[in-house]
Amino acid sequence: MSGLDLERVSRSFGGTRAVDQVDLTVRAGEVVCLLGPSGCGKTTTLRLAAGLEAADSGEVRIGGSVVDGGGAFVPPEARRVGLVFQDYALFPHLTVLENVAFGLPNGRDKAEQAMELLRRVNLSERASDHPHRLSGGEQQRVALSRALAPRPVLMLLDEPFSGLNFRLRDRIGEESLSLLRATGTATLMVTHDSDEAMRLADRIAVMRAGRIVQIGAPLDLYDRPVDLFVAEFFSEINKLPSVVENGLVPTAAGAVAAPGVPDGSPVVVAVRPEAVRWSAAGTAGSMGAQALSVHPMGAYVLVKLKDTVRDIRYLMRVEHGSAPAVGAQVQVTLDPRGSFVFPADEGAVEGR
Amino acid sequence: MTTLAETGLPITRRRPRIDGWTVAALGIAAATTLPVLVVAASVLFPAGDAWAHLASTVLGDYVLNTVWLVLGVAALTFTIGVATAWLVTMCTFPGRRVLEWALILPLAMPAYAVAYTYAEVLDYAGSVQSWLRASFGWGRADYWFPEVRSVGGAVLMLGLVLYPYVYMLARAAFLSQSVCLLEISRTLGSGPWRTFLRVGLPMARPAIVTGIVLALMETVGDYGVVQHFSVSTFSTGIFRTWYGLGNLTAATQLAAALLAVVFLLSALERFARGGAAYHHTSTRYRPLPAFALRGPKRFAAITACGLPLLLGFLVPAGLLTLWAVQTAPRVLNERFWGYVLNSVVVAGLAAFLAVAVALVLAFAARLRPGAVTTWASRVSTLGYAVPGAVVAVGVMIPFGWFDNTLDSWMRDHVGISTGLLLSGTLAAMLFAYVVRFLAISFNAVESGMTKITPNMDRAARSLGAGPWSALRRIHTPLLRGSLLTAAVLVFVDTMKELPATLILRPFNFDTLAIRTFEIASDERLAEAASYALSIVIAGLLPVILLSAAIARSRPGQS
Repeated sequence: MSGLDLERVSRSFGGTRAVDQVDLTVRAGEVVCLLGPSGCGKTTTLRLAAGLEAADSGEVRIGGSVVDGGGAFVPPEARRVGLVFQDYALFPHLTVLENVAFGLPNGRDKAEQAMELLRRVNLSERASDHPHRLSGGEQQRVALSRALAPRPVLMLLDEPFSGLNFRLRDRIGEESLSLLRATGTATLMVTHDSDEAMRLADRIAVMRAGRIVQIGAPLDLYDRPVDLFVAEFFSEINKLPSVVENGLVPTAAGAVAAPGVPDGSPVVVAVRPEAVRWSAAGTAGSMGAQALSVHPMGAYVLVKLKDTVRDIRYLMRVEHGSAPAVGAQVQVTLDPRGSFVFPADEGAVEGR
Repeated sequence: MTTLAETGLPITRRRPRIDGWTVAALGIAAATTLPVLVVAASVLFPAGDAWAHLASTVLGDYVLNTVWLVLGVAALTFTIGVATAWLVTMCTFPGRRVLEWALILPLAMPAYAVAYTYAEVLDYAGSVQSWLRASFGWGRADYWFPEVRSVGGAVLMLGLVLYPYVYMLARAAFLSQSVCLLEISRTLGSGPWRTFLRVGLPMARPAIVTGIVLALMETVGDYGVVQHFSVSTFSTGIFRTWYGLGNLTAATQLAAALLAVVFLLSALERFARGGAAYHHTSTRYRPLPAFALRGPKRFAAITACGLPLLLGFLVPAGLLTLWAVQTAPRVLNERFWGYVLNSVVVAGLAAFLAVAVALVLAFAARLRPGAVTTWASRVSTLGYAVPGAVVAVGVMIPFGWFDNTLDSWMRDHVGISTGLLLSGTLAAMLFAYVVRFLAISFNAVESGMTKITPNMDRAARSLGAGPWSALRRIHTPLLRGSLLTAAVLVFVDTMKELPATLILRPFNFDTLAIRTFEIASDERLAEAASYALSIVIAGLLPVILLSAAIARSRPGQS
């Protein structure tokens, strides 16, 4: 059963297409992350699903029924969606318990139901406190419980963890999403943090300028990005311009295969830092480089290298303890697993 | 190693606990609370038969009328203020941009001027009823027409000019609400109307309550409207007991009763606010949703917002203008301009003094932060809640006592009579204005002060500027706008002020407000129009300032 279906949904503001012909499905119990730079249309997509915006064209379905499209528009209060904002937007005039009970129908066990939800997130003792007395993590849990209380078919999270410090973010993120998976709720989460998306999502949809550029499992996107933009979203990228010769792309650090790309095409080879490999300089030659600086990052080390002949710099990522010394002459090769060939004209989208 | 003394650097001693700033703050606090204390202390003295007489005759009326006024004005200002604020903040409809600021205009109207205008038009002899009789051939007993000179009429007049307090504060509260909260409420199953009732309204409650209480303070202190409509309240009672019965003690005790009403209202506000204003739990602001209204809803919104503006400002201002033009040849003579000058000079002096005193208080609190200065500024600004008549009585008594004591001592010992040095002078009047309006100037100065962070002080100090130099080079230029706002607000309130001016003015010293009142009391309303209109025109100044301030107040939008 599907939680959310967007079919060719568009929404413009003024002359700008904030969301442009977006197709997206989120199945029950699945977590899909909308990932993209600010202004790419990911938040508008979320708001279209919530009913806080109406689509100009296309169709929005929640739990299989049409909520927007073909002349119909179901207002947010009738959509059975839950919504959590970055700053949680707890009602300041209500207690924690009243916040959670807000969306529950009036009835005898309203308070008891809300209490049960608070117990699930270990906050039953804070039930009668007002929101401002809670820590950031606690507020986040209240906001999630409040959104979950009316048992929504679809949960919409707008950068829900970015208000937390980074250690808390990991833990709360995993707890929250396991709760959502356990309740079979379809979850659409907006984030600009690729690490977070990678860690938490079942699938990631990368958006740019109102369109979904690529959608798939996190590792699919990491290992097989469709373009430079997607590749750059998940790590720093070394960009080596070149031209295809005989199905191969020669670079200063060796050739990379480019199957299906016509000879003579200008291309960019995108190389993830961990796909840059080094060995001690044995034979002097064109592939030599020098280690300019070494930056320990804990478990791994970032090394900045400079080609000894040409003005090319590389960013290399190696394990802790396996970095060259500063100033050392090294030999550089590329691991094809983290090296991608893209048409050179895509350089136009580099500037994110 | 050299000791600090050997370096030759200037060394200041630890400053003493009590210094000039603290003394000044305490002095201001003592002086401004004096009138209130005098009035409050009056209950300790016997007032003779007069009090028993009052209790058996009119006191019941005073209480009852005051209760009706308070309830009526509260209901009316709440309804008009909140409804218009919500509509112009959350919805779009034709004319909204204009209404946003125009809805504050009635604030420029002195309540008594509105009352005079409507009484003139709606009375039995007024143009509306005369027209009805002429058109339908009715006689006196053939029709029913609501009596404007009644408690209900007074409620309507006061509500029409006082609702902007609620409107302004409610609108500021709605503007500062995060839309996220309203959107969350929608996704949790509450429609737009229920969202307003369950989230928008409760979150704005502290602001709304404050607005209503401000309106009620003005209501219980009002003298012009109730006097003209013959509605007996504590305010009219003070005048009647003093000037009619000649019993100052009983009048003072009535003032004390009025004071008690005011404190009750303040306590009510504290209670209803339920502690502090709500903390903002959301810091994200997107543009307000602006529901576009269509069809009948659009018409209803325009009517709901247009009617208070029409009745509270456009109609009375229009009528006043009409009459002023008709009577201009008779009224606009040298004497008229003399009254204008009197009003402007007195209001200007009051504004200057109130701002200067407020600055001293604010600087004292800044330079000597602590319980003493905080307490002093809090106490000094209590006067705003105190009705003009009460302040006037509280000023009159000690000043009169001082004059009499000094006079008799001088006659006994020196052989000359000093006469009245303080009472019945401009000084007494200005003192009363400062007591009453210090809160306005102080709040404006202080709100400007909070924008100057303590780190700016520290930065200035670390760059070699002493405290005085910092005040002069950092604070004063940054405060200029706030000082101007403060001065304008006090200026206009002084121009409008009626009861305190009536009691305290020097003999034969008339202002625009006094002349408006006196001429209107003679039922020569058309002639009073020029005077009233002058006050209205002055009153438009702060309204313009306030409108601009409100428009800027939304966080995240410059």
